[in-house]
Amino acid sequence: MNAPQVADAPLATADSGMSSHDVFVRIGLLTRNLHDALRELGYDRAVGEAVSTLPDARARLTYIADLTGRAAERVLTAAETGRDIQNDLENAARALGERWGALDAEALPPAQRAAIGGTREFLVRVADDAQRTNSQLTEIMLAQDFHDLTGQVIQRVANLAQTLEEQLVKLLLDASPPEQRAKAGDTSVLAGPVINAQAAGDSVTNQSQVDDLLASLGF
Amino acid sequence: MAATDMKFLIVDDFATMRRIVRNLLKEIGYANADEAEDGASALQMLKSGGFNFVVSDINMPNMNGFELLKSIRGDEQLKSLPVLMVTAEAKKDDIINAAQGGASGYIVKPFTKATLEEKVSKIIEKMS
Repeated sequence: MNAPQVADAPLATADSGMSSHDVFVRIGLLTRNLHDALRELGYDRAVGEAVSTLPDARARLTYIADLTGRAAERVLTAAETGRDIQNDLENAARALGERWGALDAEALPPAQRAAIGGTREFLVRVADDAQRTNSQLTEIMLAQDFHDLTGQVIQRVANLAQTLEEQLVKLLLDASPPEQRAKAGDTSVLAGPVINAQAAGDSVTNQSQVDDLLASLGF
Repeated sequence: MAATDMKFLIVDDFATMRRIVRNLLKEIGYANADEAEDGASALQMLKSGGFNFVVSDINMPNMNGFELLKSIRGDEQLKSLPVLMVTAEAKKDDIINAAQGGASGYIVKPFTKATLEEKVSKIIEKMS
């Protein structure tokens, strides 16, 4: 292994007089030495093992996305059903309250008058509580947006794993002896989108920042 | 036509989000809504007519929200249709692109019922 010889040589600088061809030759040598070192140290096997675990990692991510998606759907179905029940209850309570209110309670004995008053109060409370329960069900429903947001993140991580897998396979192929390279080359590399990390300064973090930005554009 | 009779098209590749937006719209008084899972199918539905308002995600397969917006603004029949972007894309460049592309409003996920209600009402007010 002759990596130290190359590593000891000074790097090309703008005033060193090296041509771009020389630089490419040097990079090529460094790469060759890295491949040799990987093979000699047995890292090609480690890389191979890493590559073989990545599809499993992607499958696990997909499983998480599927399972959380199904859970979110179940919660939405339950919340929608609950909201319908609460709406019916609220409407029925208000309608019945109006019927009790239309009675001429003044002509009735005090005990019955008190009972009617109590019933009307209770029906108002039922309707108001049904409305409050509905608001809580809306919150539960809205919280299911986690599936969309986490789903997008999971998708990006899965794509990243795919890109990493491709690059590791390429590295493995380059570090393999030619006869094995041809064999390994049969396992075609999967194509996938490139992931670009977002710089925090380029993004907004809440709705008011969106509104401010749009306002600055005259919207 | 009364605002509550308006027909909405909700465009998002996540069924969960379509369902949430549909439920919220119903709660704030707009019960008439249909759904599309990407820009391409949304455009097809819009061209068949009958829609008054579009609520669209940006990051979608086939045709994304920006492409859908461009197609709507470039179509003689659809160009005046209000388009509210509801998206997880929080990059300033995306918001500027949407505004310059003719979006009627922009909401970042996660959002609240109050935010959706405020933006939809504001757009409808401007329309009338």
